[in-house]
Amino acid sequence: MIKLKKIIFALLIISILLASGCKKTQKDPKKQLEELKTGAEGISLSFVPDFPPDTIHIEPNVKNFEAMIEIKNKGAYPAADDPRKIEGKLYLSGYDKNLVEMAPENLDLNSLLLPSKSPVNLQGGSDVAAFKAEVQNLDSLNVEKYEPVLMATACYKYETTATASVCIDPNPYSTIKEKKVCQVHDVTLSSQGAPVAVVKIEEAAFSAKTQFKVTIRNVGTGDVLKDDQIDKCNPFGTSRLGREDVDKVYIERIAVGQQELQCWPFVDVTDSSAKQQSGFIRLVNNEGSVICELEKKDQEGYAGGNTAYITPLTVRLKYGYKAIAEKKLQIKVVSQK
Amino acid sequence: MKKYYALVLLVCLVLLVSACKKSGAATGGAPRTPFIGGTSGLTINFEKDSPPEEVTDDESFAFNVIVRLKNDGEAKVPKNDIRLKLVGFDPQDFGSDFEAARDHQPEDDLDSKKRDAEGNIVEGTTTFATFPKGGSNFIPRKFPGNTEFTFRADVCYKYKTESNTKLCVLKDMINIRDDSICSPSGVGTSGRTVYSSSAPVQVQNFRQSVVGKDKISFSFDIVLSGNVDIFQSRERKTPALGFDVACPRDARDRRLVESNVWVEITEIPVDPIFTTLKCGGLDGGGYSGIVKLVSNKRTITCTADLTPDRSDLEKVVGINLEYNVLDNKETSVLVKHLAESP
Repeated sequence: MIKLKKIIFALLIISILLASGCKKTQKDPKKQLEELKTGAEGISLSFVPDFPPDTIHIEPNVKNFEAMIEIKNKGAYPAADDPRKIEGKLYLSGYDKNLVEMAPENLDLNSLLLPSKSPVNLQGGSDVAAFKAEVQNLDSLNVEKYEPVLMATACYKYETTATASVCIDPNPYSTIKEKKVCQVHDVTLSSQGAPVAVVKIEEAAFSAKTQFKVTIRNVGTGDVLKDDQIDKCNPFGTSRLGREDVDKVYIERIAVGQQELQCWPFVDVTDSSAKQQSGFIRLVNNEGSVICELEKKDQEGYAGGNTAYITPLTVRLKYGYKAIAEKKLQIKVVSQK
Repeated sequence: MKKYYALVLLVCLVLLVSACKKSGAATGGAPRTPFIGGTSGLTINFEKDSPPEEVTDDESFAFNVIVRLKNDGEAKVPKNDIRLKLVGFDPQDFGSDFEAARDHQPEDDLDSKKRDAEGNIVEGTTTFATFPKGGSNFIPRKFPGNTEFTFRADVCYKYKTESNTKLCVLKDMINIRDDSICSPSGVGTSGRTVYSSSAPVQVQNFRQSVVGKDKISFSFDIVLSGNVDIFQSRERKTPALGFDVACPRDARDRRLVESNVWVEITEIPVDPIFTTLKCGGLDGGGYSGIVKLVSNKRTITCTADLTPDRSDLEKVVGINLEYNVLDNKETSVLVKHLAESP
């Protein structure tokens, strides 16, 4: 009897091993599709290994090298049905222009293939940008080596679209007991496949309106810029980014169902308390918020009538973003003596 | 009793292995996949005792180095598309010269591994390259004492990968019926199975998606799977032009062509069902061109317009890759010093 128990026990262990060993390691396709709209990155940069190599030897007749930057769009913008391309530029800086001549000086990102994550490309688009460099005048300076740090900077326009289901309750203070399909509650979000994300929607229902406080955060590792000021990123340009150009996100639209909401406070307007449908908000310590209202129309009430209903709240944000990558370089002059 | 437990364990292990067997594997009869598959190209080895592990110095021992090349992949390689060189020692120390140890080519073409319609595999052919070139021998000079040398055979050869899969084309690409012959939106790892011929560079992760009523999109990864270096220039220079032309040694020249692969989409560009085909990532912007693999991988995404006059069907799409492979094999030779007679 004891032996039989032992055998059964052994078989059980083996069966578990069998089941676990044959477990599918593939990801659930549905989950993968959901993941398309997650992640805290937009455009990411990295130097292609060996382009340039860590050390470059300069000889009288060999003075050129190539820098290659791999650019990936790890985010969800532009959407698959959106014909737009990523707008922005890639710059290479960190070197003395009198010693190294770089061509091109910058590169338009819309010339690269950077589609967003999609069902056919779960990692998002990637392309390689090449810069040709020529070292000049280094031997005449009588220096043995020159050690610049190459910095690739991408400044680009990006968009975030966040959607959450919210509960609209026309009678939040109802004294009679009635069955409601939903209760007004706060919604926490993580990321939407973009470096700026809507992270929280706090909802409060009143008798004549429903109020939403939408919190927006820079969840990426780069800097947020005003989307119309990205040209100021040019390290060799005449204008520089100022305090008024950074940490500002344009709220293009916040809507509950089909109805656009009136929101405040916005910056860069004459009256910051004026309610409007769109405008810039400032991020402080990478976070900012806006308060929006859904007014109950006197005659019609809300879109769901006089009972509580669930409807999507959509937030669309536009902004500029700056991402960088660095590479330390050693340029050595080969002695001809 | 212990034997009994061992038997039970063995039976369970057999069950385990059989249960984990790939569901798509053929269980007999004609193969249902187009290629044998694998990541092998040419296999390089030294013939036994060529070179010998030990030789003696002072011109007392003559030997050859014979490199054996076997085609374990599924692409034929003409002998002119192979170049070999022997490095790691100074040929002059062995009574030869550098010219005799470089830009050598094997005796015969290398036919690929093949599989007939019934699944019987015919092995690829084997050929040899004998160093030094021209029929002479390596004859070690006199050394001060026992000295070990590395003999490394570098082989540069042109190779191809053929891949294919099927695209799902339906009359109505938007409203897919449950009983449709195929699904035009393969997602993630459950995307369409792509088959690649045995070669160091493989096509993997083929995915198809519907972009519009008459438009599909597909993407695939080009992956360097073998432990070799690959090169390709815009002019698609082959080893026939010389070892260093096809597989450059100079760091600057090498960087320009290293990890490059020529890619060409076949079948659908000439198929009337597909009206246009554009692939991003290829330098030509069309359906062929050079790509540089980054960290041994690159994703290519293509879009194709479909003619509205079509029915539900599956179409074969081919992906051909071409590149030069640099591989090597090394061994060591101990040159024993002969003591001088008193």
